[in-house]
Amino acid sequence: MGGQAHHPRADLGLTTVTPAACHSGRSRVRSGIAAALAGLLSIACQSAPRNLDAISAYYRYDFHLAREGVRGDARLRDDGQTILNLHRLGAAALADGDLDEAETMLRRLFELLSTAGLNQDRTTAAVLVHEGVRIWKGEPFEQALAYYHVSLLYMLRGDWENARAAIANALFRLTDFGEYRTKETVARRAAGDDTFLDRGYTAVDTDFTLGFLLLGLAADIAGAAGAPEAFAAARSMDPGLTDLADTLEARTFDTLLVVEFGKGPTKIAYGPDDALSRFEPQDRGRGPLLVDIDDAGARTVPTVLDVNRMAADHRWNAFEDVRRAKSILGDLFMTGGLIVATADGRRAGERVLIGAGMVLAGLLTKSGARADTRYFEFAPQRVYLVPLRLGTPKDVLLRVQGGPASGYRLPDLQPGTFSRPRVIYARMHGHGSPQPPWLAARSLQHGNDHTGVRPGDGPWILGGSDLSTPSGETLSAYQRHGWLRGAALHDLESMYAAEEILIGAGAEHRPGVLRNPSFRHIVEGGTGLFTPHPDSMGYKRVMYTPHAAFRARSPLVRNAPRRDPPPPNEERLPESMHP
Amino acid sequence: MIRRTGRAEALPGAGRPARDHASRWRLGGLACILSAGALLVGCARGGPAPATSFLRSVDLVDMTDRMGESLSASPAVAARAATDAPWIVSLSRLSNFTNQIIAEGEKWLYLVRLRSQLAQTDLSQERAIAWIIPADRWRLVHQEPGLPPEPYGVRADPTHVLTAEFHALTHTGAAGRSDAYLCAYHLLDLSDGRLVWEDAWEVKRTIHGRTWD
Repeated sequence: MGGQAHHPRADLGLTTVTPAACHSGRSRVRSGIAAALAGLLSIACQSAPRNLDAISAYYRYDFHLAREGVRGDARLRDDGQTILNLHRLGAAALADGDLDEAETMLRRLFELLSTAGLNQDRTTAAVLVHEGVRIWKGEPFEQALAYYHVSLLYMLRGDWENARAAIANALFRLTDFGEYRTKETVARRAAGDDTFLDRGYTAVDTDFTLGFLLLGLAADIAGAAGAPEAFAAARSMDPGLTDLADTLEARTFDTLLVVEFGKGPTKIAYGPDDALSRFEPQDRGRGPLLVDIDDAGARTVPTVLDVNRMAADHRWNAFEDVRRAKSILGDLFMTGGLIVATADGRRAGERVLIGAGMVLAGLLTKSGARADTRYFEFAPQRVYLVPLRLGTPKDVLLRVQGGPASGYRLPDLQPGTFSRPRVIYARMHGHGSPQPPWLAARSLQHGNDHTGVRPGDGPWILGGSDLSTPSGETLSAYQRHGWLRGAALHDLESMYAAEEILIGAGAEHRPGVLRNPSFRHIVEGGTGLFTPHPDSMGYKRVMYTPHAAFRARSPLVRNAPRRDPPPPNEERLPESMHP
Repeated sequence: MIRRTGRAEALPGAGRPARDHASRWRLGGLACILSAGALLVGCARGGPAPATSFLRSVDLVDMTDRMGESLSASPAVAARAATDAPWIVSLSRLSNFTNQIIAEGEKWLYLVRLRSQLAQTDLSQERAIAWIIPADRWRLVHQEPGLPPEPYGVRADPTHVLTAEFHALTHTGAAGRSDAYLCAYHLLDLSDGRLVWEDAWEVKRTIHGRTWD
């Protein structure tokens, strides 16, 4: 019966109706109903498509474009994708050096991750319709990564109390199914025992070594309890990281680099009706990071976290049996529905209607059998922690063994202190990504709020190269260098206003607008004038890339006087003697 | 069962009651409606409604109200007179040792609201107590509604410091999450480090449901 009427893998399997029936009038009715139902299903129940443009931009180091690609989803939508979109935009903003937007996203993400029972009222819908109707909270390892990103944000801000609070949440216990160490064996066992997933595991302590290292460090700096225990746990989990744990605990460093490398694993559906999902590595390897300070020779730093390994560990995953059970249910419904709909006989109209109802029910469950393959695409493949004792500003070159040769250079890196080490975040990609010249650049192209106005320089909109935001101090520096003589701060601000340039990232409130151009810097075609977080990758891209001269549109700026020749001897006067 | 049998008998026959005919249409229609209903309900794309075990704004209000009452009634404060040498009490932001993120500005609110509560009583005049906030933090909190101005010229020379320290014991499991909070306040005499007053506010918040889902 089913052999003719139903193909086991035809999720919308109405094309498999018997040939004889296809030539009848009834079949046209059935086909019409079926097509309508299938169309309805495909429209209503499909998972949100992956945002390939944003992903592509992220892995081209165009973090600002990646942010634009996901900003609308993260800020304007409130649905089952919300947590995922918040993480996407938060992570991209972190890499791009916009800590304000990152905090807006990651704080909400933190709140939502810290809930319980988010999908409590959606379980039935997930079984009947599609796993994708659930609110995405991510696999447990993705949740740990999310908490880590929240913690990283606060480390970058120097807020070690909140960094500690965030990473503490990543150290939740895991479910260990003992001898059932793969998803397949867990699912098979669960298929024969309804209680297995709820009772067949042992809650075990997490093995999230990165989390313990960061917890130890953050607790120590914040003055909270638990630092020695956290470092001890990290040493015991990964003895290869003992030296790193010792250094972090001794606090004999003034700068901490947090380096993420490569593409994390992708999530695919497989198995009967694509009911199971697994993470497939995209980048592989555990090669060390090579850190070269002032070109004095590289030292190697081991991997702290391998996301591929984490994703493959069944203890960091969940819920495969639900999908499998749905797949079985879907087959039964589908078979029964098609039997009624294709049988010859009288009162065909009502049979068609009944059959259509059953087919629809079957399709609902069958389409629901397909595993949810939404995942956090911006996850790294590995993470390194690099405590450095710089003392004074130095050039730091980062390369990954086996990765692109050019590496990522942090010129003139300013250290923190032993008591308050400065944290720098670098998001590096592997061979599959282009290596833009700014990654390895040594020469700063634009003065900014972090560096101050460089000698002789003036504002970019008037033909200089400086990208500092307007202030009394900035204007004084310009005037000492022969720019804007006699102008008041208000005059400078008016010039930016005349060019519709907004001061600060995201300064324009645009409710309902997907791509707010004020988050993009004016040198990159946006409307914002700001300095990304110093020594972030966004900062390096904006400030170390030579940009074409500004083209003024407003008469005010076009007609503004350019640089006057400095008065004799003025350039040689010490800065403190200038008015 | 009865209806199904009746339908099976009627299939090869020449006719059937109109009521049966209609009921089958209704059955088919019902199947479609139920299925469509499941689709529509299932595919509804509502966003997540957060329910956390974190501290909330009502906790801020209740906590600072109670701590204000406790401080006012403490023996050390009650024993003071308007003619005593004034206490210049500097507020320090709270130390957050919970597992909840509390933004920098919010940390100050837990002390500033307490100060605001106390400043609205006659305590300052009757007990000769002035409340101050470190200059570098004033900009964070000075826009708080109802905040009275500080006495001029006293900020540089505090005699006491009021601190707060929040701790939490967090438990997560298959059934939910709970956070038991201990929010402790301390008033220290800066001349000798003596603890003049301390009290704590406690609450336990619990949420039910799978924490990983």
